[in-house]
Amino acid sequence: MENFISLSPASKKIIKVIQLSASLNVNSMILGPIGVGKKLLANKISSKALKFDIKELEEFLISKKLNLDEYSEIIVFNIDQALNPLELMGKLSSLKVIATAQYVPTSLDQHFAVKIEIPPLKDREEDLEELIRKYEDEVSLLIDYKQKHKDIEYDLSSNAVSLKRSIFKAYLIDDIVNDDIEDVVYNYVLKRLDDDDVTYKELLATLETSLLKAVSYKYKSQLQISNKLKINRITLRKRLEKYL
Amino acid sequence: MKNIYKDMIMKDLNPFLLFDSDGKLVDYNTSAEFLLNDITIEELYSLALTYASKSYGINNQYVELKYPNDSYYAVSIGYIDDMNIALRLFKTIEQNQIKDLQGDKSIYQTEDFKDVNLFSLIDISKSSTLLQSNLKIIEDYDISIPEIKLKINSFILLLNSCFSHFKDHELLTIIIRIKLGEYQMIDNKRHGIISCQLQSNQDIDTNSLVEQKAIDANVNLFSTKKSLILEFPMFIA
Repeated sequence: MENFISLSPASKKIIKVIQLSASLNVNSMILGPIGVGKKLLANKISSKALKFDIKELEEFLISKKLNLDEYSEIIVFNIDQALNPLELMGKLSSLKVIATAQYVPTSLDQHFAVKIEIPPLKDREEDLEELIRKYEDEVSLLIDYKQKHKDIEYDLSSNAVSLKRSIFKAYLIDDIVNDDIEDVVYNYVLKRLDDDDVTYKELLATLETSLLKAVSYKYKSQLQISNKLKINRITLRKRLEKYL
Repeated sequence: MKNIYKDMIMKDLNPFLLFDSDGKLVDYNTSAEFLLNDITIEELYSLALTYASKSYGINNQYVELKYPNDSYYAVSIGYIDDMNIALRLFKTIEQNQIKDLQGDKSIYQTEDFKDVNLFSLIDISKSSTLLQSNLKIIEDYDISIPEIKLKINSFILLLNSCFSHFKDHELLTIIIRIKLGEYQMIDNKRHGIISCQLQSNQDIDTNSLVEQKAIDANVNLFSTKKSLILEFPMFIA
């Protein structure tokens, strides 16, 4: 199982609270935006607890397929998406509940004595650096790159989720060869063909947009582009106007 | 004939105090004696001057006052000449009296009360509530306090509310003690009292929400300008 990286002062404090929560028989709610490590921390409070996403749990409880009497602890992911939070807590009243959420639903405030708010990665500098190192190590197992990428635009909009994606994407793009592009395009087209209203024009536009963006970035004038790509200038202008 | 008016005042459940024009205490009843354990004569005289009517007469004022042992909902201040001024305080009926029995069990024997280490609760509440605060905390604990029985969930919720008052402060001192020589009788059994004082160097502003949480947790809560004090019986595990 992955470990929650706790090198920043804020994360060290969080780990301390998590350890205390594990030793006490009280409900805990772990709060924060997507990708800050809520699930990892919930598992740290109790590794032996039942684990459910809220939707899955609600379905089980409605269908009465789950006998809660056999358990003492439960982890509920995304409890803020519960259809009826109070009814849910009534059904879980005999258990120690560890929940994750992006915000505290007002009706649940009194049911969770311990609330642990995880700050976003951008506010945890030391954790961010370590995560970047970790994801680059993971990439190196997949791709045999010669040197580290220096110009990655780290995407922190969804914290670790988008960060990992941006790192993997940067290295994969570097590593890609003609055959890979053909495979990617092939798979992309196959997927798009499932859409009812997809047209040849639309598919071509997707590919042509990337091509035009790249050449416009590389060459300053349309004259240079038309010379390089051996394309008529009038045609080029029309394509640029259409797609960019 | 004995003076029935004076007798009634002297044995009244509400404190009554009479000051001279210099603020010296001239007379007071039995209830006022207890009140003087919590607040000084100077503070009470200042209270009388604050709420006295502009001219001779008696002024009744509804005002919430909280002191360590009692709280009051109104004061009555009267003066008919320049020689004396009288102050009477009206006690609030405590909603937070711990009932002796819940069915055939003492309250602390019910399922709501669980054995717990008090310091763990303080620690978890303090750490989670003040996670992103730069508050400097000084801890002064009587570590001889054993595991006790508390309503854990309600108690942490109360602590969370209390700690949140200090989020933007610079310094907080937490003092936890067993009150010497003070006991609370519950179900004919004598229980020591634990005092948990949260003392800041800045003013705090409490709200009624905290008071409701204190009632839920069976804790007596009172505040001063810069501190919150929680007192509760020490139900030994």
